[in-house]
Parts: sequence; structure tokens; C-alpha cells
Amino acid sequence: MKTKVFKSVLPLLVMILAIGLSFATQSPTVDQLGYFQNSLSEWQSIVVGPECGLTGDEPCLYMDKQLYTQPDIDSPAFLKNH
Amino acid sequence: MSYQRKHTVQIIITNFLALLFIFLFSYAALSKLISYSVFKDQLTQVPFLAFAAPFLVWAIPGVELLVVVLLLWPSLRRWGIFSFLGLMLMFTGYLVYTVYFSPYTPCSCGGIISGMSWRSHILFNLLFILLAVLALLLEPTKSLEK
Repeated sequence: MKTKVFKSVLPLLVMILAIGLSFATQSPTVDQLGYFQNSLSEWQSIVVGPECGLTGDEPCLYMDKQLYTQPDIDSPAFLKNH
Repeated sequence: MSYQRKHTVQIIITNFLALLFIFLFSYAALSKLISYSVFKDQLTQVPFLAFAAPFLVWAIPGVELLVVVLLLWPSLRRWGIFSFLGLMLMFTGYLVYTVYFSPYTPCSCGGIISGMSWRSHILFNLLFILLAVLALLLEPTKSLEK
């Protein structure tokens, strides 16, 4: 009986716990988009990770291009901490 | 330590490690499915994976859940540990590529793990690779279990 619990029930409980935890720890933040100019100077957008924000000591880059908050070179640039 | 006692300790350790792997992959798969659109966007940003992103966005959590099923089934556990090890090696290879060779590092991990830096994530994966190898070494063979 003890072996049965250990081999069958416990793994299922662990799986259910992990599923519950994945819902509980899901970040409610909305995706943020970053904009960069491609080689033809056209604006393109990508999803920016949570490491990029408006404060930091180094630029957030994509393919060596600075990411901006808007498709406008005068808009705030995304930065990240080292 | 007697042979019987050593065998019992081996079983306890492998069962504990299997529970740990079940927990990690269930959590990782569900986190990806919950944040489906973010995960898809991030896969699209990886140059060599972009073409397969619509497929991978379902295939990766699907394979992770399949490994969980293998780990849940006692007679298939050894295959489950092998599959777990294979996936962890592939994922670690992807992380190493992203950190050291990719022009951009998207965050493609959900939940608590997204709080880790990429280098910490590589160390985290290496730890689980070592644990999977340990589980394979300690997993009792069929003849010993009878």
C-alpha cells in the first residue's frame, strides 16, 4: 500500500502542485513592444523582455539596433541594468 | 551498508529525483501554455527557430508533458529520465547559443524561472542534467527490482 502511494499517487500530486503553481506565479504584466529601425530605415517591432525598461546603465539592443518605446527616434529608448 | 538497504536508498533517491523532474516539466509546460502569445513571439525572435515557431509553441510544452507521462509511469520511468536528460541538454545548448552567440537574448521562460539571469539558467540546467545522470545511474534495473 505504501509503495503504491509512493509510486502512483505522490507523482500525480506533485504534478497537480506544479500546475497550480504555474497558474499562481504567472506574471500579470502585459507584453511590451520595442521598436527599432532596420537596414532600410523602416520601423519594426519586437516583444521586449522584462529586463528592459526606462532605467538602466546600458542600451537594450536587437541586432545591434537601439530599441525605442515608440516607432520614433525621439521617443524614450529602452535601457537595462548590467 | 547491506545490499538490501543500499537498494532501498537507491529507490528512494530515484523516486525523489523523478518527482523533482515531474514538478519541473509540469511547471515549465503549463507556464508556456498560459503565456502562449509571449512564448510564440519570443520563439519568432530566435533567428534559427523563427520558421518553426508556430509548430514549436505547441510541440515544446507537448513534449515536456509527454516526458511527465513517461516519468509518472513506473515501467517507463527510465525512458522518461532519458527523455528528460535529452531535452535538458538541447535546452542548455539553446541557452549557451543565446547567451554567447545570438545578437538578442529574449526571455522565453515563464513563472519564477523568468527571474533568473541567462547565466544562472545555464547553471540551473547543468544541475538538473547532473541529477538526471545520477537518476539513471541509480535507477534499479528490472532484474534487481524483482
